Amino acid sequence: VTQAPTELVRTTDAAAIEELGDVLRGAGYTAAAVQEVLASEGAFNRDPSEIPLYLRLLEPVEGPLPALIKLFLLGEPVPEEEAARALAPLPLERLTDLALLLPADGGLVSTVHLSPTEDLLLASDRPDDEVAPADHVLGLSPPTRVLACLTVRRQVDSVFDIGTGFGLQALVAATHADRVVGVDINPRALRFAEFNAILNRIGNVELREGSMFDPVEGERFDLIVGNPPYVISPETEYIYRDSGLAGDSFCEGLVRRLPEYLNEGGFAHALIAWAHDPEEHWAAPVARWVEGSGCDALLFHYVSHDPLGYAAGWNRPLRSNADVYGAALDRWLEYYRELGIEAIAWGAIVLRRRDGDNWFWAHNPAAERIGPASHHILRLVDAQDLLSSLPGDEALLDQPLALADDHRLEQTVVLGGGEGFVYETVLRLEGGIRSRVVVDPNSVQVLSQLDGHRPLREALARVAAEAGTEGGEELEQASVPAIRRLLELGFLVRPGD
Amino acid sequence: LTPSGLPDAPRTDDREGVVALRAALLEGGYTGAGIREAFGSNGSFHRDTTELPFYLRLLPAGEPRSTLIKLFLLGVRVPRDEAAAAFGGLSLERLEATGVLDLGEEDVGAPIEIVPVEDVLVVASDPSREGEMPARADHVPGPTPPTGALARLTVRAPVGSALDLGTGSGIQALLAAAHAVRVVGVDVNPRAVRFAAFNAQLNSLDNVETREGSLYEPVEGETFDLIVCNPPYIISPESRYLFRDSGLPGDSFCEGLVRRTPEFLSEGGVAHLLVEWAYEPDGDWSEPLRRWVEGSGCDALLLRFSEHEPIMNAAEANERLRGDREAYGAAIDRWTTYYRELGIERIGWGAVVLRRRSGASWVRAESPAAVSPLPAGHHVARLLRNQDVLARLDERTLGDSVFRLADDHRIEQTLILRDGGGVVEEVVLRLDGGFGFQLNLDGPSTHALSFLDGRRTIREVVADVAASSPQPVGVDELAAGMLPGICRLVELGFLIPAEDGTLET
Repeated sequence: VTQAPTELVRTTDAAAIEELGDVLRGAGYTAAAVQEVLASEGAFNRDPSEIPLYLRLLEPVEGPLPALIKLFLLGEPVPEEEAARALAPLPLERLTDLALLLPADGGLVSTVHLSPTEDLLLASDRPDDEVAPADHVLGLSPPTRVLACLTVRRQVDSVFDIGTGFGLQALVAATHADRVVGVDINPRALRFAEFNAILNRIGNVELREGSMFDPVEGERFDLIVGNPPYVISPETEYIYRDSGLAGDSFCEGLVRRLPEYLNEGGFAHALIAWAHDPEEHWAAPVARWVEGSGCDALLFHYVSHDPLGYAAGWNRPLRSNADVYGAALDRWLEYYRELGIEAIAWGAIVLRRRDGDNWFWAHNPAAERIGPASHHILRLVDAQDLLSSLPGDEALLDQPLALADDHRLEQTVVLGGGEGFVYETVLRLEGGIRSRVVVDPNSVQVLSQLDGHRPLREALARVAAEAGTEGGEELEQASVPAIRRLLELGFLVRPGD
Repeated sequence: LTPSGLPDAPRTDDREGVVALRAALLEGGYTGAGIREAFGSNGSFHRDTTELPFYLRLLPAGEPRSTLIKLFLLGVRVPRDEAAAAFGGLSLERLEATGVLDLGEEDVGAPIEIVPVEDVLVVASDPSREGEMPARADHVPGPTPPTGALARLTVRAPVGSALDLGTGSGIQALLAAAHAVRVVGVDVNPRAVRFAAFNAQLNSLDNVETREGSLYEPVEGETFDLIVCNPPYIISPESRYLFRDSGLPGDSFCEGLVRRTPEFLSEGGVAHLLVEWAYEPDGDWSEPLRRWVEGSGCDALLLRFSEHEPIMNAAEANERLRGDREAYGAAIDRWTTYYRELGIERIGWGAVVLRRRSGASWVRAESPAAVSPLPAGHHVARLLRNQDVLARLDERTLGDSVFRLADDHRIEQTLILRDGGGVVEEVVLRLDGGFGFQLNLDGPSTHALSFLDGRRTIREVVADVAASSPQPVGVDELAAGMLPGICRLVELGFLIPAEDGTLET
């Protein structure tokens, strides 16, 4: 670490931070408003090189929004009078006293970045520093979104957010928990998390400084969420990125330790990276980590990279200096070569603590399409509970199953000679994990007969009867694997779900 | 801008050497597929100079393909012995004499860029780097997204003569050479003319002739069966680049171009011109274009691919300045001021397709969702043919006509399964490939489609739909409801005349 630690965000005037939140919400500082003002075409994606365009798009917009966007989203200076008008009735001194606004050429600049999500306002470090200090506190990123979507949102007593950073996971969990403990080793991160709790008037989040599980030793929780420094890197440069441990041993340690902090029935969700041998299944290493854990486990695998692609992805901020970037690539590649790492996977693990024989299920979904998926995660867990409780897959024939309400069947048909030819049939789930699977016409017939009351065997008999053929054991045997797959992917549910 | 000290343009006086270069490129695996393979699972190549350290580590040492990519795509110099190994027996000095390589004491660079196009050609041009404005006014660009858009919408029927107006590096001319007996490529930029001639030689195309001159001047008095044109259509306050800025105010350059084109088309000949034009935000986008083609003696298909507010057009046209905050902001201001002074509030980008035909001409305007990523020339041909049919028909003869659904239609229905059946949520009719035209269908229309089987007349289709209706319905009433929809399906190419048996594939 070469840079000196940067200044802490101040939370000395909580009332001013609360009022700032009120001003921003009152001015309509929302993700939708930003989208409307700055992205007339396509999705808004803050690009520093486009700031000249953004400033000009804001010119004709009336009210306080342009000044707020310039200050807190674009990181641009705003003349003092304009800032005062936009932040009224909050006096500017209250924010300058917090060192949230500082004098600069052209007026005042904000020392923090403020991201609006659908429900929250979240302060983090400004994202425009190409080479950030070691204790840089990241804002919203695609991985934070994936984790928030995957988290089971049941009303619970206690939540533990491990590596809370600017506090997003803790603050979201606070809406469905009595109390939340957020832990981070980075004091600046904790101060941001505290700031954000105040900004959003959330009072049930407790923040503790320390490494990983140290500050919660001996405690158990109903829910654990973790977006840890999972990156497999030779560096120890960034607290948010680099664990400093060799290979994927940090993630392994995390996954192996999570169970002892979970209450019976409690869920843990963590983003992880792991190395896998190209010769073995990508899930194999993680399956070993959870063996004998006392937890059921869902593993989602979003992507695997070769070492060079992985190294380039994480070193992009260095691109402006070809020598530094090239040297970093060589250093990372050498590290992977020494450790014998040939493929690096990224994904999420969901653990549920449960006495008894535990199951493990691994899946390969598309991360970029995920939406809020709590209900889907619970459905996948229930499917595995059911399958592991059955003496064998044939026992599925006696189960009364139903198609999930959020299924959609997409058929592509071509008409010819007055007849329709079905080209392809895809079954998909709306929202959540957005499972998609190609189904055959026979399965469609069977699925349409599943009503949550009649067992699968009876549905098969009805289809056979309608087609005027014998049902029989052969059809039953043939249907079982497809039904199992649809159950595992969340298309089929037990009645009452 | 004045021409800098860069080498001028590759030469065509060593035909054998150029042919050998082509062979070396192919043998080395320097093709579209080869380059995609080299960049592999790490995504496509983006001509982003800051990614050079990454790209260089992706390329395995000792492979000619790696060397060719470094020289001609990444613009990186390589050691002399590495270069020598990549060109087989072809001497580096000979390639330098042709203007393809630049030899240093120890290393070798390429003053030009060479890229595969459409997987059938290799095309040389001036090098282009993301984030950098070209250095010279007579810069000759390689393939760009508009190049691809024009290439994909061009009707690819066999013709006698073709003209590529503003040929640049010659891409449209080279593509036309595959289905034209002879092609003339014209450009006002002498360097572009030389690049185009070199590229014709590089691709062993003997039927491409290049001429220097402004617009139609070099072909005065001639007519062509096919015209393709990717002109400097941008509505710009600048006169900085020959390839971009016409120097004429507003869209008057495009208007003049469209108005002059008919006299260079032979009867039945088709012209494809990329254009920008200004229109009233709350008016009909096609209105200015309709004026340009009025009385032209041509049928006109007007296609709008995108529309921009002035500031977004200014930002897009100057995106290469984004690395320089001051310059980018100043350019946006200069361009938006220019638009304001001319009273321009909305800018369309698209294509005008003209077909010369004696008799009363028709005009058809469509706004596809986006530029087609897939070949669409066959759909353009179909729209022309179908509009001819519609122009001939009246209400009575329409009833006697026989249409069928085009083979490339797809009906996509979304259902929810319950109670032994499916409840239809949405039905979309679309065409596979081409412009991807699509329409939402209601239940009765979906039902009616299955009767359009190429055997029944429209009158019979209406009668059969009436007969199969669960409630009694008057045939005349039903016909009044159905005919506009059927005409729309013909206009968009979903339905084709049944006698049109030999369809484009």
